[in-house]
Amino acid sequence: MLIPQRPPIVMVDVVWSADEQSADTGLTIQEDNIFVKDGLFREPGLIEHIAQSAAAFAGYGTFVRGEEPKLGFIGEIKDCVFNLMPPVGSELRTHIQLVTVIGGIRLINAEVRLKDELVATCVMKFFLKDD
Amino acid sequence: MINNYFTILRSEATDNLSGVVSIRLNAHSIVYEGHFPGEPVSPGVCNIEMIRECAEAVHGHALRINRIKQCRLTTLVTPLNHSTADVTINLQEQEPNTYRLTATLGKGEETYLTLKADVADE
Repeated sequence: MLIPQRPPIVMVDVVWSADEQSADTGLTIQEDNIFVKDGLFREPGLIEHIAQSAAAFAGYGTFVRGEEPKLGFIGEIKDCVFNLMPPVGSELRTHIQLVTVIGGIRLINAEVRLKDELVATCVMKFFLKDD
Repeated sequence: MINNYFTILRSEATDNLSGVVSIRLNAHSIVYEGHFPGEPVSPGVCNIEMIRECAEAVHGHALRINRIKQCRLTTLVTPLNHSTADVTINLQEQEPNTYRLTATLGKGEETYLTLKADVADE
């Protein structure tokens, strides 16, 4: 496992690729997703999807070493723009790019896409427990 | 939205743009089954969603978040250590039906989370 979250709050269902600098993840939005309201995947779901994509990125190193993923926590969210709320059935694809690491705090850029449409962009700082 | 995540204990709105909402976090919420197993931590995004819902309670109208300008999560919030807290809501109208939301989650002198976001009537 790349991420420490478990149902019902798993918001990444595929990791397409991950390395030291970036990760590509995905999520198909199911009707019973806890962040779906009136058939649309709402703001907190999008942020949690980004946070868990970042966790998958951070989990890559522990995964290749055969270790359990560390718990990750969001420290700061900046300039997070929501262009649309994807409907149930959407297949989101997300790119995480590492910007920098300062004192154990990772700064990442995230882009969430639905086909060619940019769903959300976000800058996030997060840290891992015991890091 | 998330069934049973929190309960509003008291809402004191000065007008439909600002107020203080006292809440209780429910330790039995389903989110803690996965966040994290055996180690309940209140998800930051659920606290942002809770603030949005408190803003709706003050505003008396549904609100959508268009942009989070900045959100700082300075305390690891857990339903056991932070069972009750206050949400302060301040909405400043920018254009008709769009607002700059400035909000905090905390208790007494302590602040757990600060949020600046652009929101709109939905």
